[in-house]
Amino acid sequence: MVRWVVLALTWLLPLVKAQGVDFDRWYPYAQASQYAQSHGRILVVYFWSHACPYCDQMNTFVLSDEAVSRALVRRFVVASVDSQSPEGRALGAQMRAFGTPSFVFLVPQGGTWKELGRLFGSRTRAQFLKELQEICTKAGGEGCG
Amino acid sequence: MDRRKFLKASAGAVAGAVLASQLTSALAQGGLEGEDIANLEKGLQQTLGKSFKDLTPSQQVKLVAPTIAESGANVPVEIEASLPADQVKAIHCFCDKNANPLLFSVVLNGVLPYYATRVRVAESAPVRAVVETKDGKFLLASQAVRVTVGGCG
Repeated sequence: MVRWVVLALTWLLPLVKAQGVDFDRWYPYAQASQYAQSHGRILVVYFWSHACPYCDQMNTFVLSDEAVSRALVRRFVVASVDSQSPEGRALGAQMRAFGTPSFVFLVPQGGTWKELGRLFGSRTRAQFLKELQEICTKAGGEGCG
Repeated sequence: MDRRKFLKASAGAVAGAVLASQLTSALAQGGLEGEDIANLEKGLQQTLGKSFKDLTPSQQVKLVAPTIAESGANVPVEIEASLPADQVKAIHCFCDKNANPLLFSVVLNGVLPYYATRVRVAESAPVRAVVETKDGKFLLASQAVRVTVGGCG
C-alpha cells in the first residue's frame, strides 16, 4: 500500500509543480532557465529594447496574439531580456544576440544548453507561428500542433 | 476618313473610355496590396453598421499615409475632407488586417474636417479613411501601406 502511495506521489508531484508555474507569463532569465530545466521545456530568450519599433511591432501584433500565446504555453518558457540592461548586455554577448528583437531557442541537454535555432527581426504572426512550430518539432516530443 | 473607319474608331474610343472608367472604379474599390475585405467588414459593421459596398470612393477625401512604413507600430496618417465643416459628422479610420480593424473615430462638431495622428498597422494592408457626412454618406479613400520587417542593430 505504502509503495503505491509513494509511486503515485512520484507521478503526481511534478504535475502539481507544473501547475504552479504560469507558462503564459514571461520570466527573468534565471527563473525561466530554471523552469525550462525542471519542466523539460524549450527556453526562448527574447532580447528586446525600449527604443526599437520592431520590438514594439512584435509585442503588439505577434507575441500578444492568442494563437502565438497558445503555441508558447504548450512547449516553451519565455525569458524576457532587456538588451540594454547590464544583464541583457552580458547575455547578448554570451549568446551572440547583437540586435533586437532576437529570439534564441535553447533546450537543456546534459547539464548544458543546446541551441535549437535563433530568429532576428520582426516578422508576421503567421511566419512566427510557423517558425515556432519548426523549432518545437526540432526539439521532438508532442504538442507542437 | 470614310464613314466605316470613323465608326470603327469611335466604337474603339468609347469602349476604351468605358473600360478605363471601370478600371478606375475597380482600383478605387479594391485590388490593393494585402487587402482583407472580410476582416474589414467586421470593423465597418461594428462601428458604422455599414458594409464595404456602402462606402463611396471619393476624391473629396484625402488620405496621406506612407506606402512603406519602417515599422507598423508607428504609422503617421493624415485625413482631410474637402467639404464644408458643417457637412462633416465624423472621420473614421480602419486597417484591413488588424485584429480590430477600427483605428480611430473622431466626431467633429463643426470644426475643420482634418485629423492627423499615428496608428498601428499589423502587417502590410490598406488603411481606409471614411468620412461620414451629416446627410448620411460614407466617403472613402484608401492607401496601401507596406510594413517592412526588420530589426534594430
